[in-house]
Amino acid sequence: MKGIRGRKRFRGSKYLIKLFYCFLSLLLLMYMAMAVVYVLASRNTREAVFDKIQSNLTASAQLIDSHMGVVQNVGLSLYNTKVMQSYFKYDARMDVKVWAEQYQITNVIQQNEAIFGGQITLLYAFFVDSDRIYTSAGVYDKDFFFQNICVYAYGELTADSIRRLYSEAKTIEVLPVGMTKVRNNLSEEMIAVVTHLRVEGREAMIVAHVPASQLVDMQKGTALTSDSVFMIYDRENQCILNTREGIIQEQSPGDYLQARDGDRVNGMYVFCHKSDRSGWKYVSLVPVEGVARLTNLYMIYILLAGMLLTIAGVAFAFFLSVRLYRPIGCIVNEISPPQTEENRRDEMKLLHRGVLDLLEKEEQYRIQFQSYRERYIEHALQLLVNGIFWQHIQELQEKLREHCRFQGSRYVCASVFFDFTELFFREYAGSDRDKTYRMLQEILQTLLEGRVGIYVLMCQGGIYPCLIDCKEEDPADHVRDIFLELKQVFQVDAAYYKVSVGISYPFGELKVLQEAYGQTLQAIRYCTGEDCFGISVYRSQGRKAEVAFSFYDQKKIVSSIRLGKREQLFTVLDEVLDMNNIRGISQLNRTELYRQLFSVGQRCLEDCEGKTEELESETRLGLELQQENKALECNKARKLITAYFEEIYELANHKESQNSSQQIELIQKYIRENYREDLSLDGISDVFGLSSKYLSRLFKQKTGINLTEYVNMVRVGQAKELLQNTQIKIGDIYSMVGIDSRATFLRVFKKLEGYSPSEYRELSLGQKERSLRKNV
Amino acid sequence: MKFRKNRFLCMALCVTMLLTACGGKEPSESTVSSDSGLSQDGSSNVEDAGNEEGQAEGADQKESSLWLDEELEITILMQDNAAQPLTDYAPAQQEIHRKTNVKLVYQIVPTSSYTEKENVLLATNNFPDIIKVSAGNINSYAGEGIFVPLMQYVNEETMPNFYKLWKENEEVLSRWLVDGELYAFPAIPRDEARNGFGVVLRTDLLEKHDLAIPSTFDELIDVMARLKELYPESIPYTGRKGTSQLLSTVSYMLGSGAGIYYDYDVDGGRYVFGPATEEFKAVLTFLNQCYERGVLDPDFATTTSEQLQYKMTSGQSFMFIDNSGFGQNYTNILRTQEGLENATLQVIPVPENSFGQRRALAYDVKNTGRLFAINAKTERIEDVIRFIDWMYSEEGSNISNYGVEGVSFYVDEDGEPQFIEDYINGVDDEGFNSKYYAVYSDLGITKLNFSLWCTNTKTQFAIQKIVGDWNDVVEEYWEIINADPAYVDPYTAPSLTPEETERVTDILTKLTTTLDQEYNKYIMGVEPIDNWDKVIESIQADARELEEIYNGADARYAR
Repeated sequence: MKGIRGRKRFRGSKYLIKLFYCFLSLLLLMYMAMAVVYVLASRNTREAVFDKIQSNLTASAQLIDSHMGVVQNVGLSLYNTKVMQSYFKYDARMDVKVWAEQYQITNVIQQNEAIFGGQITLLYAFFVDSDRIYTSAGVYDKDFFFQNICVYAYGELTADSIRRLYSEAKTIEVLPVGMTKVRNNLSEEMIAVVTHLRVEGREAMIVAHVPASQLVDMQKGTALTSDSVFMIYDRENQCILNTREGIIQEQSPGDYLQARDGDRVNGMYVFCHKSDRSGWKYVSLVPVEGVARLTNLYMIYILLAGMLLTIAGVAFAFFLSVRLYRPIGCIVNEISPPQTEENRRDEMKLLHRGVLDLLEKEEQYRIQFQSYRERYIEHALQLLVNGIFWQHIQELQEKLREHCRFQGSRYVCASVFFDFTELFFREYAGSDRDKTYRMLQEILQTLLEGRVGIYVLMCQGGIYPCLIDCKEEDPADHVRDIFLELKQVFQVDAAYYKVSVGISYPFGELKVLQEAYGQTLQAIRYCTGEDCFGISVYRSQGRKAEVAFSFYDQKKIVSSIRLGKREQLFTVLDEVLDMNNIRGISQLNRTELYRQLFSVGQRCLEDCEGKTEELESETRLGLELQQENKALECNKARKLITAYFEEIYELANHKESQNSSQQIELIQKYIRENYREDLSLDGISDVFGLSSKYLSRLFKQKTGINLTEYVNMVRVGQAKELLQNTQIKIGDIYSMVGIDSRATFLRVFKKLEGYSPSEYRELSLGQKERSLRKNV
Repeated sequence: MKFRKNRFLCMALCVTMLLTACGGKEPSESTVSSDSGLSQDGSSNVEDAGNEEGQAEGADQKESSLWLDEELEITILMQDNAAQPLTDYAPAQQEIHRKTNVKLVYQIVPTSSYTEKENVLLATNNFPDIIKVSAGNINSYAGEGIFVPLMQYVNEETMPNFYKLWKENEEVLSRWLVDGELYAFPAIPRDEARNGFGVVLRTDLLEKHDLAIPSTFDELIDVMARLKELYPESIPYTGRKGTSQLLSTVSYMLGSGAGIYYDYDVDGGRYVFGPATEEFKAVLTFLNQCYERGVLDPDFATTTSEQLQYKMTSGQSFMFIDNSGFGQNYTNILRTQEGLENATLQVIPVPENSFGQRRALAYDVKNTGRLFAINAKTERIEDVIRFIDWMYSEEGSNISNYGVEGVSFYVDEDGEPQFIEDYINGVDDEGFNSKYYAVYSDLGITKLNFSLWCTNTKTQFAIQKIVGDWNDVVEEYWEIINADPAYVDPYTAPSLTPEETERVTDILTKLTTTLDQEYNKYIMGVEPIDNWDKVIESIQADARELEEIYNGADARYAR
């Protein structure tokens, strides 16, 4: 199974195949190398084999040379012994004395035969014209000798018989190989070495017989192939030895002698060696098949090696490629799992795409993460500024470090307050203002974050508390300088606002951000009003208690006004005032509080539309607050503030409520008139030019029920009329009231009335009857 | 799994490749091998052929008392024989190979040059595993350490068979001890019939020409001279192996001895150096007479065995004084020739010599005089010893004397080996002077081959009877021999100490050199016989010393 899967995998993956082919290409290199080797080797091997044959031939030739040299010298050295010199004489010339010593010749021949027994089988001497042959055993009668003792192929050796074989009479003749039977015992091919002598005018011979097998063995010992033929020719080109029978008649020796080394004659390679010493020519014939076999042997080994290397190479290539591919395959499979029946997948493309995808996603996530981080910081800091406990201070600090490049362990809070002028309010309408506030936040953040680690928050419109990273012990000047640079920037639009910056004491823990913020606000109070740009650093007045009016409280007030939550508004106000009273803050602080409340109220008013003249309460409160020396009494302050906010509230919501009540009536009327038509929330809101969400909220707020419910109520009411007073079928009724499906009609009817339409009809009919009966 | 299999496959392939590569180198390496020695190459070829034979046939014949697990090859220097030519790896040796896994490789040297060869090889310490060695060389080289000292093996555990024979023949065999140490294994005769040198002549011719059987040596010369007259082209009296054999054969009969010998008739029996005595002149005189009267072969000094046979069997010669057994063979051959159907070469009783003695030395039936020494450089000496002991066993003896069991012989109810007639009849005796020699040569058996408990006459008679050669001539021969009182057993020579041996060798060498040069002159009449006194004088001192040594040694062995 695994194998099949593997094979499928193999076939199905383009990259794996590519890898495999890559490795296989290495094999090509190997093949090239082998081809070169083969070519060189085949040439060299033949050379080498030839060289070897030649050198072996030379070696055996030299061996045989020395062998035969010894034998050839025996005759002469025998003759030169004292004994032979003294007693080897022709019969008729022998006197008794000499005759008596003839046994010595036997002895000396015996000695020589023994000494040279390795080379010579038989040694004898005789006079050509005599009947006596001297041997190691004794003297034989010549006829007897040549018939019984030494039966030589060429018959009795006489000068004539020898001359018959050779043209020139030489001192030492080597006769060709002839079968020789010695002493009725062994029959062997022997070479006769004949030494001619002239002793006192008579021809004599000393003959030594050398077994040819010795020479053949010497040659065979050095032959490379067992079927090579060996020949020896003497100086007259007479063949002395030929290891292949019959050849001497077949081929004239000249052919072989003329050939050069390595020539081919009759399917044999000819190798020659001419001995300098003896003048003999040694010829070795090696059959072509033999040499071919030898050379082929090397070739076969090379080929075999090649085949094995190929197999090994393929196996290795496969193995390596699969191994290499595995991680890639895994990765690709992870990225895009293989589908069945998919042909060759291009892994590289898939990988590329996959990696690109990953990078894209990573980019996306990074961006998202950035925004989340920002939001996190924003959220956390907002909570902290409002005094709400934030559990994950550590995380926040880390994020500040990462995102805003906060490095230090201490912070400073600074608030930038834009006091907008009338001009600003005139030129910038509602939504534009919001945009402007946000833009200002961004501008501040951008301008400042280059200089120092800073995070700019937005509180309402116009107040921007900033958390600043500070490293020094006393950063006030440093921060001040930073903000001073803003002056130039904001001076341009001095017509629209006046900028005040308040800087708090440095603090180490983020959880006291709220206090720091308070400090900044207080500091802003002390900004002098000459310039359009003022910076002041908080100086602790050593007051016992600070104002507890948080940003959060501020926001709550603003939102309750906006959302029309009257109760909530006054609850908050009461809370703030009570809180501060309980705390027993100083007169001055209280005044501060009232002033802050006053400014909040003012800002709300600014947001409201349709504020033309100053409210009465506003005027009164403002006057009171403006009195520096006279402190406002608690209760009075409360009354004034409450009244102030009431007015603001009424102003903000009244119009809205007036407006909105009117609108709702109009809508209800519209519904009652158009119940038959298609009435969707979107459709209605389009008609009245309101957003569907606003409409739905408003309707619910004013009437207490959803618009859709009201529509249904109207329709159902009409349907009830029809059911009661007419006989129209139910199937026709619902379309008449503007409901498009029977199922919806039945559901809605049952839900609102509690009965199904048909039941209602019956009931109403019944009731009618009852009432009729009653009347009757 | 797949990958492991792959890996394994790859490794296996690699290993295979390496092996084939290594294997491929061999052809080139084996080509250049130098020819080390003739005998090795020659024997290896034969060995190959023999091994195949041996393996094929030997599979079912392994129940012998000796089997060597690892094949042992023993080379032996053997002396060839004219009458019974030796061949290497004859059937008997093949059988030995099959039975014992021991291969005997002969280095055969012609008999004429054997002594020379033996001397050269021993002197150069370049001799094969086993060498047939002369007693003199045993004595000479005993102390040199070139032979394996053998007494250590002569005991019941190591060599039971030899030890038994040794004990039986201790008196005779202990003469081969040098200083108590044995250096060569003696070939021990087995049931040998006793004969020796004798006078063999053409009794038919004597009959034909009405000549009486000579009873004295002088008469002998006369008879021969008469035949010479009748047949002028003939060479009545011839011999073999030159002057030395001539003297060896007739000296004792004529009242002396050819070298140092034990003379029963001198002083009650003592060692005498013949040529240094007066009596020796009688020998020379006899031979001289023969020569002068044309009876003796002029080439007596250079005679050969073949020529002897040739001359005797062609009718050219009428008498020889040598191993009388030859006569029978020659007779058979003579009778095959036209006109010679009645020719008979028969032994005559030993004639009386000039001192009135009739005496002749019989062959030593207790002692063949054939000694085989083992080269100290031989490998696997223990195995060689075991093999030699086996050769002394009945099994080994049977094979080395009768050939191949089941082919050439069988063992009868009495446990005696008997030749198989068909085989014997089937042997081609062309060129041999008798059937038994042909059989001996064909099978490679009996005393003259490598047989340590050997027969000659026993097998000879058996074959003669089978073939029908056992004719009246043979019968008559043995009658005469057995009845002749002139024959005495040879005296057992004492063993000499190494110093004695050395001295003896020196003296003998000197004497032989001197005397060899003299004999022919006196025989041929170049020097008058009386001048032999001069020779005696010149060799007197050495001769006496020699005699003293021998007699002294003999005295040690008080008998």
